[in-house]
Amino acid sequence: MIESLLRLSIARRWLMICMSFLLILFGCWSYQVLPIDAVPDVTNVQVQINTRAPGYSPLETEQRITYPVETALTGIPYLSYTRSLSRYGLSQVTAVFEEGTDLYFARNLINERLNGIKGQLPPELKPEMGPLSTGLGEIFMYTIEAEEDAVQADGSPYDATALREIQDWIIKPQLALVFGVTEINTIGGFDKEYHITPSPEKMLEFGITFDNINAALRNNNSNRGAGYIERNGQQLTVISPGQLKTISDIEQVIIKHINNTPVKISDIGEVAIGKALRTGASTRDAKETVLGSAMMLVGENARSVSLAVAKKLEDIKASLPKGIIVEAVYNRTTLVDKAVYTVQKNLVEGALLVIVVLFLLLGNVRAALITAAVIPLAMLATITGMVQVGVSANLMSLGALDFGLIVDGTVIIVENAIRRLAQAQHDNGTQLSKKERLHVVFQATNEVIRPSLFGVIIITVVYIPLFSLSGVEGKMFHPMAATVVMALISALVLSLTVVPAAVALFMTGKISEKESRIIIATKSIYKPLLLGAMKMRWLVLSFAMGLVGFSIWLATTLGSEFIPQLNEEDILLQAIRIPGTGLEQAVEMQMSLEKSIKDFPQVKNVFSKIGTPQIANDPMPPNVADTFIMLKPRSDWPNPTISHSELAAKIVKTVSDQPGNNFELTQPIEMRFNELISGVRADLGIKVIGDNLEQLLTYAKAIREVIEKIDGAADIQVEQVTGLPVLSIVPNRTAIARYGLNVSQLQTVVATAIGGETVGSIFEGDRQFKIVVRLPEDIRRNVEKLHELPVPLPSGAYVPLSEIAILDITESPNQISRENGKRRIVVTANVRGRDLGSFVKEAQTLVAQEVEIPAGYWLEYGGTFEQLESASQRLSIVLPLTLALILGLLVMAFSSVKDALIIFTGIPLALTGGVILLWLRDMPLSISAGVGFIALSGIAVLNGLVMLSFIRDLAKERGELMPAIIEGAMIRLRPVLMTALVAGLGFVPMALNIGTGAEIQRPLATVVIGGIISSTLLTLLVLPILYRMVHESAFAKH
Amino acid sequence: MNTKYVSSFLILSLFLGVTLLSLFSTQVYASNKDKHTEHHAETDEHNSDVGHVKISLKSASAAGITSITAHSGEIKQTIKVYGKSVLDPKASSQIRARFPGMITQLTPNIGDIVKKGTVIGEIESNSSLKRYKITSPISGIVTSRNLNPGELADEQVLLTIANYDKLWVELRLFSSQVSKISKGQKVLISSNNTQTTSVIKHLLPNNSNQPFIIARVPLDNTQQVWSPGLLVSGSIVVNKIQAPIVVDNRAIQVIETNKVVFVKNETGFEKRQLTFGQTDGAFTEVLSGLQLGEQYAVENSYLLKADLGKSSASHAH
Repeated sequence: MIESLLRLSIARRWLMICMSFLLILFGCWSYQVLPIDAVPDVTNVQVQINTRAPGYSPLETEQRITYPVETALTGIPYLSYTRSLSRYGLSQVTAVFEEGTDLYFARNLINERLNGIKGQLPPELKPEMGPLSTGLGEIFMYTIEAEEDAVQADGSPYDATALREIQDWIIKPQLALVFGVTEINTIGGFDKEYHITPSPEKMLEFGITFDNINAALRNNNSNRGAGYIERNGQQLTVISPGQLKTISDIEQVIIKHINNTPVKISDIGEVAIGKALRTGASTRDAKETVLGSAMMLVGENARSVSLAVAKKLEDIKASLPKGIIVEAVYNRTTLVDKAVYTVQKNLVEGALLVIVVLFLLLGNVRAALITAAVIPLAMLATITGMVQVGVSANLMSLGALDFGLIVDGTVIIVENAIRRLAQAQHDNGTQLSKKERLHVVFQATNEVIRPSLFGVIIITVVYIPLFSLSGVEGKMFHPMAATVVMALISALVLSLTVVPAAVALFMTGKISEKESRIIIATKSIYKPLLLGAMKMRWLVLSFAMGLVGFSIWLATTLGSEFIPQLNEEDILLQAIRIPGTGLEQAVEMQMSLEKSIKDFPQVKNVFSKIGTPQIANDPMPPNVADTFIMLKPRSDWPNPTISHSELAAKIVKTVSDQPGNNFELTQPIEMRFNELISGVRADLGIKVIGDNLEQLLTYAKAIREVIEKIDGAADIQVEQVTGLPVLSIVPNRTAIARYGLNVSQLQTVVATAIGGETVGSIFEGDRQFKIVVRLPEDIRRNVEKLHELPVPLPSGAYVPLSEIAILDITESPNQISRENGKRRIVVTANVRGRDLGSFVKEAQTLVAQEVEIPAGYWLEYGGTFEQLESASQRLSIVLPLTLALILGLLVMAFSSVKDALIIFTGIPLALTGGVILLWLRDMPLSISAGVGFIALSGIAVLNGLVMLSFIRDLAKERGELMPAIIEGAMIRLRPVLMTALVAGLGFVPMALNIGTGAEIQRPLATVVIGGIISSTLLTLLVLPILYRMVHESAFAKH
Repeated sequence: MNTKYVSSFLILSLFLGVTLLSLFSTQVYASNKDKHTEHHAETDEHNSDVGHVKISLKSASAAGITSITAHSGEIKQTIKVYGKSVLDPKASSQIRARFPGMITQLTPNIGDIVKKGTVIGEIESNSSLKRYKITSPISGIVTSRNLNPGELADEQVLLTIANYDKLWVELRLFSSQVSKISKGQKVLISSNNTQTTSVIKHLLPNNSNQPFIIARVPLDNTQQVWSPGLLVSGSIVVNKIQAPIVVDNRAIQVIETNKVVFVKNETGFEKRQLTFGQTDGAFTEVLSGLQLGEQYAVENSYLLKADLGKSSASHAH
C-alpha cells in the first residue's frame, strides 16, 4: 500500500505540489484565527455562587445561606464536589464539575436549583453566579485618578466617591461592550450614597422613631403615572412626579406634625453625601484609587481581547471629565507577547540551525531546500490542526516543537535519494533520463520508507503517555502532546506525498553528491573507532552498562520539582494581617507598604487590592491585600544582573520592618491558579471534617502537634477560623416585653442606627444612588456609649439600650469552610528535604495512632500530593505499556525480537546523556524534563532503527556479517549524524534562551540535547557490537 | 554461549531502561518544591511566646505609633441620661380672684414682667361690692391672661405668672442606671448648643406606673438661655477617682481575651497584661502591671498586636 502511494506521489508530482499550495493557503488563514495565549488555562470547570449578606455573621451566613445553597446543588449531574466559605457578609459556594463538562450546561442546572430554593433563603438576599470567566480571566486592570488641581462640577476636588461614580457610570458601561469581555469588576472608592444622619436627642425631643423617618422617606419618593386624558383630539398624558432629586428635597420631607407644626428631616438631622460600608479598597503608589478589571469570557483569546479593551479605554478617555486620568496597570498582552516572542525565537532559530546543518551535511543545495521546505509546511499543517481541534498556541503547546524531529523522516528519505541518484548517475556515466530518474527516486524512497515511517510512528507513540495525565498536569501537557503529534503526523504525510514528488521534480540535472568535507573527516575517524570497538567489545559494553548505572544513581541525587514556574516578571506580594483588622486600618498599612516599595528603582508602579471587590470572585477579608508590583524592563534597571527572586527577596526584607504584616511571595497568574484549583495549596492538607467548630479546632491543633514532630515538616498551619471581634447586642427578652417592644423592633433600631437602612434611591439621569438612614459617625463609633442609646418606644417615651439589651464583645469565627456539605478545618504542611510519599505515609500512621477522632468526625488527606500520587500512578502504568508498544512496533518492523531488543537498548543509553547534562546544568528533574525524556526515547529508537535495518538488509544481501556491519555503519553514519544533529540543534536555542517562559522549555531541551549526544555515540558504537554478538552464531553456521 | 550472555545483556538493559523510567517517574514527585515561599521574620516564633515586638524607633514613628509616659490621672465615669426641663413648681402662680366679682382692672398682659408685690389688678367683690386689689405673689412673666376688665371672675384663673429664672431638669433614670446614681452628684446638662453644670438635688422614688425614677437637677436660668419643655441630656458624674496610674484607652488591645498594653523596651515594645480598675471611656485605672514613668504605645497600638499575631495569620481557601 505504501508502495502504491509512493508511486502515485511520484507519478502525480505536480498534483502534490499544488496540494501543498492549498495547504499553505489553509495554514495562513488558520494562523489568522489561531488563539494565542501565554500559558494554557488549567483551571477546572467550576461555578461560583456568591451571596452578599450585609450584616450577617459567619455563623448566620452558613446557617441561612450556605447550607441551603449547598444542599440544593447535590445531585447535579457531573458534579465533582462542592466547597464553600462563609464569611462576614458573604457566602461563597464553589461547585466543581468533572473535566469536559460544558460550562453553560452546568450553570443552567445550577440556576434551576437556585430558583427552586428561593423561598428558603432570607427574602432580601439573592445568590448570584460568578462571571463566565476562568482563573486566567482577569486580563486587564486600570486605575482611575484625578490630577492634583482637578475639580468636580461643584468645585470640590475629586475624592474616592467621585472617582467610583465615574467608574460605575461612565467607564464600566462602555468597557463592558467590548467583545470577549464578560464583566468589569471594580474595587476601591466608595459607593456614593445619600446619608441622613438623625441625632438621637432630636429624635427624642420630637418623639420620632427610626420607623417614622424610614416611612416618611419611602412615602415621599416616587413618580406615579395617572393614565391619560383625551381632550380636543389631543392625548394628554398625566403624571405626578414626586421623586426626590436633591439634598434639599430630602431635607424638606416632613416626618410628622406636632401641634400643627411640621417636623422635617432637616430638623432632626443632617443630609449629606456619605460613604457606604465597603468591603474592598484599592491603592496605587501610596494613594487611594479605584481599580477596574476586565474579565474575559471563557474560551476567548486573551491577547485579542486585552488589545480590544486597551483600545476602547483610549476611546473612553474622550468622555471623561476634565482632569481625570485612566491608566492601564496590568495588561495580559505584555506577557503573551513576551512568551510568544520566546517561542517564535526558539522556533525560528531552531529552523535556521536545522537548515544550516542540512546544507553542511548534505552537500547539495536543492536537497537541503526540499528538506527545509518541510518545516514551514509541517508548521502550517500543525496550525491548521490546532485551530480545528481547539488547542491555543502558547508556551506549553509550542514549547516542545522541534523541527529537527519533524524533518527527521524527510532527511532520511532525501539523503538516501541523493545517494542513490548520484550513484546511478555515476554508474550510468551520464545524466539520467526522466524515467530512470523517477524509478531511482521511487526505489530510494521505498528502501527507507519503512524504517522512516516506523521511526516517525514510534516518536509519535511515545507522546501517548502524556494524554493519560489528568487534572492540572493533563491540561498543561495535552496541548503539547497534541501539537507535537499533529506536527509529526503532518510530517509523515508530507514525507509520503510531497517530499518524493519534490525530489522527483527538482532533483534533475547533474546531481553533485560530494560528500562534504565534514562527513569525510568524520568517516575517517569513525572507521578505526568502530573497528577498535568491535575488538574491545566487552570493554565497550561494560562501559555502557556502567554509564547507565552511574546515571541512575545521579538521577536520584538531582533535586526534583513538579513543573518549573513561569517567570511572569511581575511580583505579587500578598500582605496578610491578623483577622479582624479593619479595612481603613488595612488601607493605611498598605499605603505605607507601597511607599517603601515605590522607592525601589526597578519598580514601575505598585498597586493593591484590599478586601473583596464588587463581584466577589476572589473574596478576601479586609485583612488580606494583594500588592501587584510591576517592574520596569530589565534594561532599565540600575543593575540588570540581579535575578527576579533576588529582587523580590530584597523587597520583602525591606518591608518587613513595618509591623503587623505577614507576606507571601508569588506572581499574579500563579496566585490565581493556586486559589482556583484546589482548596488546599500546600503539599499535604489534612482535613478534619465534622460538625462542631470548637471540636474541629481542637482536633486540628492536636494533629498539628503530631505533624510538627515528623522529620521534614515545614510551614505547618491550622486554618484561621477564630479571631473576628464581634459586638453582640443581645436582647433581654423580659425587659423588652416589659416596655411593650418586641425583638424585631429593637433589632431594627440597632440595625438602622449602626448599620444603616436603605430607604429608597435618588436618580441622577441614568445613575442611581441609595438613600440611607444611619446615626452620625461620632455616635456610631463610640462603642462605650452605645449602651446609652435611647431606643424610642411606641408610646413616645424612650428607654436606653442597656435596659433592654446586653452588649458584649467576643471573638467569633471569622470564616467557616465546608466541603461536600460538612464543616471542615484544614491543617496544611509543606515537605522539605524528603520525598512526599514516605512523609505522607508516616503522617497517616502517626495521626491514626496519636489523635483520637470520635464518631461523627473523620479525616481526609489532600493537597498537591494527591495530584502527584495519581499522576505518578498513572504514569507508572502507562510508561511501561508504551515501552512495550514500542517494542511491539519494532518487532513488527523487523520480525525479530532480538533485533527489536538491540534497538531498544538505545533508550537507557540515551537517558544517560540527558541525566548527565541536567546535572551539569544544575537543573532538577521535573515533568518538563520528563517530557524531554519521552521525546528522547523516540529519537534514540529512530537512530537505531535506521542503522539496524540497513545493516540487516546488507547482511542478507552479502551473506557476510562483519563487512556488512562495517559498511552499513559507514553508509548510515551520515543520516544518523544528520538526524541526530538536526534533532539536537533544533533544541539548542530553547536550551539557551532566557526570555519569558524559557524556564519551562529549558529542561526539556537540555534533556533532549544531552540524550541525543549520548544516544548517537552509543548507537554508532554499541549497536554494531550487539548486532554482531547476537547474529554471529547464526552466520557462523552458514 | 555467547548468545546467552548477549541475550541476558539485552534483557538486563531492557530492565534497566524500564526501571530508570519508572524510578524517574516516582522520583519527580518526591517533592522539594518551594515555589510558594512564605516569609516569616525569624524571631516570630520566639516573639509570640514572649510577646516582644522588635521594631526600631524610626519604623514605629513611620507607622504612626505614638507613645506616652504613664502618669496619674482622674477617672471620671459618667452616665448619659435624658430628661426634660420643667418649670419650678414653686415658680408659677395662677392668680385667681379671692372673692368672685367683676374685674375692674387687670393690668399686665402676656409677656409683661411683673415684680413680686406689684398691684396687677382690682376686683369688685360680688358680695360686699367692695373693690380689692390683687398683687402678684411672685416675680415673673405673665404667661396667660384669660379675662378682661368688665368680665366676671369666679373661680377661673385670671393670670398665670411664671418665673423662669430657675428651672428644674427631670432626668429619667432606668433600672440599669439607678444603682450608680445618688444625690449630690455633678451633672452636665446639655441641650443643642448650651451646656451648664449642676448637681442632683432629689431622687424621686419609683411610682409603680413608671419604669424609671426621676432625678431632679436645679437649672439656673437667669440668662434665660433655657426654657421649659426642652429635651436635655445629662451626663452624670457617677464616680470620680484619682488613680495613681491611668492608661489611655486607645492603648489597650485584646489578645486572646486578655487586655494588654504594649510597653516600650530597648528593642521595641513588649506586651504586658495589666489588671484594670475603673474606666470612663477615655482612660482606665491600672491596678497592677505598669509603673509610673514607663512609656507605652497609644495611637496605632493595633499594629503591634497585629505584628505579634502575624506569624499565625494565613489566608486559605
